Amino acid sequence: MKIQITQKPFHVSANARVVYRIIQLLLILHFSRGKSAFLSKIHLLIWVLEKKERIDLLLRSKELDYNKSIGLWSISDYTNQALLYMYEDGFCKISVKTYSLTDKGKEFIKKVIDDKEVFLDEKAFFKQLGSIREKDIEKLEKLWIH
Amino acid sequence: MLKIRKLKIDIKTVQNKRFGAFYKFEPNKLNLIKGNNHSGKTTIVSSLFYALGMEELIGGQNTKALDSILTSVVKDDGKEYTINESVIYLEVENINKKIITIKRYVKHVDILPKIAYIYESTLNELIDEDYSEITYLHDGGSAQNSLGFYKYLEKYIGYSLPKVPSYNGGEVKLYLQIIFNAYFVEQLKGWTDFFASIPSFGVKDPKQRIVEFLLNLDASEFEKDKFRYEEEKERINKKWLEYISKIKIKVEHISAQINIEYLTPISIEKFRDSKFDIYFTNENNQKIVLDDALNNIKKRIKELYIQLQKPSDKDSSKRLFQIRKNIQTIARKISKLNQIIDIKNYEMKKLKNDFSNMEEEIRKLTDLKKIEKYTNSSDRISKTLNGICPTCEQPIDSSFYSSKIDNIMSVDENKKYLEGQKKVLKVYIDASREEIEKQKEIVEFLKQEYEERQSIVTYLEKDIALDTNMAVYKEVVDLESKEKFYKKTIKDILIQKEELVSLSKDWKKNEMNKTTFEMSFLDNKKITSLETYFTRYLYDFGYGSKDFDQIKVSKQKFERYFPIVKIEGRNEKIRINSSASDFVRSLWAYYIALFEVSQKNRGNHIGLFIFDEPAQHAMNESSQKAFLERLSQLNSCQSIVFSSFEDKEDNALGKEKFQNMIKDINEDNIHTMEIDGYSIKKIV
Repeated sequence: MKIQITQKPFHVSANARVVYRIIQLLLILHFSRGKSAFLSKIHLLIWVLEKKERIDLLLRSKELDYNKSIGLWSISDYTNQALLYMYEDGFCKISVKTYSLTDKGKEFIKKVIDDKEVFLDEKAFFKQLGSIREKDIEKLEKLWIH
Repeated sequence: MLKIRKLKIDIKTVQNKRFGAFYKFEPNKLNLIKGNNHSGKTTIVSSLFYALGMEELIGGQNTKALDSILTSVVKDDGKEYTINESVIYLEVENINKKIITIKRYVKHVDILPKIAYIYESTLNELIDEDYSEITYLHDGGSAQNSLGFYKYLEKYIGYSLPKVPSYNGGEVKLYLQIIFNAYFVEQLKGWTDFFASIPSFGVKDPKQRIVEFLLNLDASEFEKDKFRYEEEKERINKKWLEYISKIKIKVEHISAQINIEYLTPISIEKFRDSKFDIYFTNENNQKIVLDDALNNIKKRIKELYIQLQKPSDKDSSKRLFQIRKNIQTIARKISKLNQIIDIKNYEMKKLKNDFSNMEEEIRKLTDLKKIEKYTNSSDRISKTLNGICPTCEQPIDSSFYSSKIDNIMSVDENKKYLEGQKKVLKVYIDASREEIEKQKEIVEFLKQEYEERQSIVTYLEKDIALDTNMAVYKEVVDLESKEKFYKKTIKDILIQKEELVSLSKDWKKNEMNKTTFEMSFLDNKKITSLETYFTRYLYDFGYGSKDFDQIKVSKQKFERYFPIVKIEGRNEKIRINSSASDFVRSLWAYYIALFEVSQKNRGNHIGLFIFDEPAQHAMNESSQKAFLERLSQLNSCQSIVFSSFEDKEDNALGKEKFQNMIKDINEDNIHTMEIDGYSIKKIV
């Protein structure tokens, strides 16, 4: 008997793909007030976007003025890496701990926003969420201990 | 058939200087282009590929894979000139001697690289405004639409490309770019494997499809027959399981058991006349065969009738006790089954969750695929999105963890993979659902039994109080209906058994259609001939890694149609059993052998080769000489070979070597050109 072993390529989730993460980040910034967001918000939203249940959880918490816990969220190193790429590409600029879209970034993400076929769930989520303030995130953080 | 006649490159710069190149090729000859390293040889090769829409063979759609000298900057005399327009013209000829010129811009203010103009005239007589067709490339449907470039080229070459199986079980058209792997070999990746630059278009086993198409093999018909056999086999298996499960449900309805899982369409023959072994298990875990159970019922009915003739039943209280015990057993069974159903339901919920996660992931990957048109735009708005690090300009991986894993799926592959997984999961979910339904049916039946017993209990209690025989009447009625039900079940099962027998006949019939051969007689002959040519050329080119009688062209599933080496009874790829230079020799031999066999058998080879730097890995001179001689002798085949023929230490020695290499080639069969200085020159 002969056994042959060939290595097959690995499955990589969209969430771990560089291009996907960059688009997510551009969307977050685009839907933020003043087209800019602070780092803790970016990390929270990236975590939320990973799973549908988390999106529902956050929206439900919003209805209760963020008095309902959404559980612990994590900070992804990949996000920082992607932000760095975006900065080098001239898509965003950094001041203190706030990231904001440059004109180049705005111009690029507009194409994705105007396309009525892609990222529909994400767009709908951001529209429903509106703006989430630093205060709200602190509220959610405090709920961790309960 | 396709022959390349002329190539013209025209570059306009912002500084108002013009640059360009012009090459004339001889059809049906060996065209040998000699140029030193850094002479811009590759620019000429990529221009040829690009003009025919084959740039994916050098690494990407449109201008992605082209040199900066065609897309952005030309250097001349130490000065840099910025390009504002560059265009490539290619004059070609087909089997009917119809000459057309293809014009495709690399850079233009308005005209995108995905547009190609077709002129029905020679390059010299071409009037720019007078094109006869505008065609599109890489634009969903360019291979199928009448306006598509590939569709035009296909017709022009005289091809009618077949539909072939795709990855996801459907059919796709065999793409021209896939077939051109047998004609064009570029130097970076091309010499690393057979058809190394194959682009992924969702075609299943594209390499095998190339050979089948070039040699006009009837493998696809043969495959279809095989496919039909497999399909019928699958149908029978599916039906088989369906009938078996129907029988099992019937048996479960009367709370009996049956062992028929081991039955297969082959083994049923033996059971043709025998009855299935249907049995009950009583409280003491004893088996009671259905026939015996029926007899017991009959006997009991008789007993009850006798009892009815007596004034009253003295055993009522004893029976009451027994039936109550019975009711308890049933209740226990019901609660056990309900537990199982709960567990299954929980599993089901998890599966459904996995399923929706998978759908979500597929949606994300689809989005990612869709936005490729923005991220991969030729203006390169972002380096990262095009896979280049914006800081160090080195290629970066497409996933965050590919530094740990070196082989990851592309977005397309990943999507296909997940869709496959989703299908499997769907089947599993459906099966689980069915299983749960079945269990619920049994619970329903048991509940009925429970109620029946319960009602007898009520009658018995009344009998004890009123000294009557109502419980006996009730039992007679129940037993008689049970007897009827058993008989009906047996009848139903016999019908199902007939279905099984007829299925087993279908099975036998299908097995007779099964072919034991790997390929048809004619295909077998062609592949044998391919093997003969291949080994002969290996010998000519000085292959030495293995004995020639060890080398075969595979007719089996493993590496089908490709060379293999037999080692101690095992078949192995020729690549891992040859030295680097010997593997390149085997590529030469294989590509030429394909042409020869195709020509001898009226196959589909277009009779054109473009080989870029075929002398890889310090190939020795005599091998190169034999290779070039062989190419020059091919009947009605045009080959265009780019090579440096350099001698690093001594330029004069290099020239001498070159002369020596072509000295035995008949002058009528060769056309040599030398790139003098740089291929792209200033036009004054």
